Amino acid sequence: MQIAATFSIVSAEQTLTVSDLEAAAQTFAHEMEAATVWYVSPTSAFACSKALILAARHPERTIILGHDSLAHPSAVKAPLPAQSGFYTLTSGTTGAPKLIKQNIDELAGSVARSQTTDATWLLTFSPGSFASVQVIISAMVSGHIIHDPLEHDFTTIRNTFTATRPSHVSGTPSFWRNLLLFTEASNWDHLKFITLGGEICDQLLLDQLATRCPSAIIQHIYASSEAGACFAVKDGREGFPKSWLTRPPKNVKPISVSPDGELLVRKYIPNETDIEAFIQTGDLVSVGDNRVTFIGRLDHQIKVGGQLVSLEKVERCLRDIDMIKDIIIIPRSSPIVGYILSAKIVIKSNLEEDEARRELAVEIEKLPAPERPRIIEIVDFIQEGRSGKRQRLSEGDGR
Amino acid sequence: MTTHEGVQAVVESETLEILKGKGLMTSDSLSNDWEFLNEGLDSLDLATLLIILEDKIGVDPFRQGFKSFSTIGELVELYRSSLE
Repeated sequence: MQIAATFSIVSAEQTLTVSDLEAAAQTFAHEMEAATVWYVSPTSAFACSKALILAARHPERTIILGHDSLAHPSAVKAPLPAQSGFYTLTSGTTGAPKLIKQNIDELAGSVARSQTTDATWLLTFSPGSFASVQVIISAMVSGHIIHDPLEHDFTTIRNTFTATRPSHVSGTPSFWRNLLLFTEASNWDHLKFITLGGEICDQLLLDQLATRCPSAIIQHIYASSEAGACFAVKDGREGFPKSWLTRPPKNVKPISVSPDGELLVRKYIPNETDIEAFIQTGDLVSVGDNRVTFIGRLDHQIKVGGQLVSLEKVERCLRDIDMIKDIIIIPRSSPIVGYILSAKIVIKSNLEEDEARRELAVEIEKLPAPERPRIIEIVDFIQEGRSGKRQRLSEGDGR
Repeated sequence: MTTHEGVQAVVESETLEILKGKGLMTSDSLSNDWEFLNEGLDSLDLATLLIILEDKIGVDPFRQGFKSFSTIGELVELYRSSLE
């Protein structure tokens, strides 16, 4: 991996250059000479960059981008890997975080190397996540500046966005919805490159972003720490072209759909063609005439009174209602019917809550009975989890 | 957490809310022998009621499995014994 000389990390505290990074990596390697495993705590963009440099310079070492203290909430609890290499942790959206071996050169090759050198990024992802590593590698190989908000609550990130006016921002659809809600349209003219990833990106959101930012390139990407970067969609439409299933273009990993409708992605194993080489992504898709669209997560399908309901599908239906600015559906377990749905909803600011509830009741009544959210909470804001994805833990379930 | 005495009022008012939402009720009170499933509530409505009551009263009598009840009075008793 080649690091471009103009790469730097800017935060409210300081500006750090490539030579600062190289020096920090050298000091780390010297001090940790005797350690069998090198843990780099992903506390900032700087720490992640240091881990990437160490991984590039010391392929013989086992380097883990994670906390070494078991007391830390995102501590590495997985068994230590037998093979040396660079490891990141999965976000744990679908269970306990797992260690995944990453190939630095493949990662550097898969990110978009930009010709412009004056681009500035805002890091919206929590440092250490696979998405943050992708953003940092993109900036490193292209020689861009990264603005690191240091704190990862939405308000700090939004304030950093407004103050630093970045040209490149990559975030989850949840992040972008919140940013659309809580920033002025006039503050968006500096944005040239918008990336969405990590959750389903729907057409409504793509359209809203295109309206807010007509001159920006908008892409949604499909990537995971296990499958790596799989593809980027740049045509402004949700899902991806059906033709990619049979004839994947350059830069699109071979993909397939299982008989149950689960998206499968080919793992990078040379000369392997059988189904074993495909990773089950846990994402359900619908194959239409020309387009493959995402329906929801397999583990976000629940039974309500015996009927299978997709949480994301219900969210998508309700998001189309004009008065709803944002929504998350949370399943609540029930001894009678398995689950029922509850919803947290952000409504248009000019509406009174009583009036909104009456209108909502009319709209919700149009859904099939199992898909109706039964308990509605009107909120100002929907919080993202640490990974930037929304957490749908059913309250009181202990899941 | 709701008191032992408060349970009756909460169960009654939340049941009335659900009935009103369905356009089923004009009265302002329900007697103790009022039966849930005979008055137009379905299992999804009942499931909703139990989750709202869990949130409001602070206990869930069904955590260890479903217990049967048919009247308001019986449901009130289930919450009361969970509070003890």
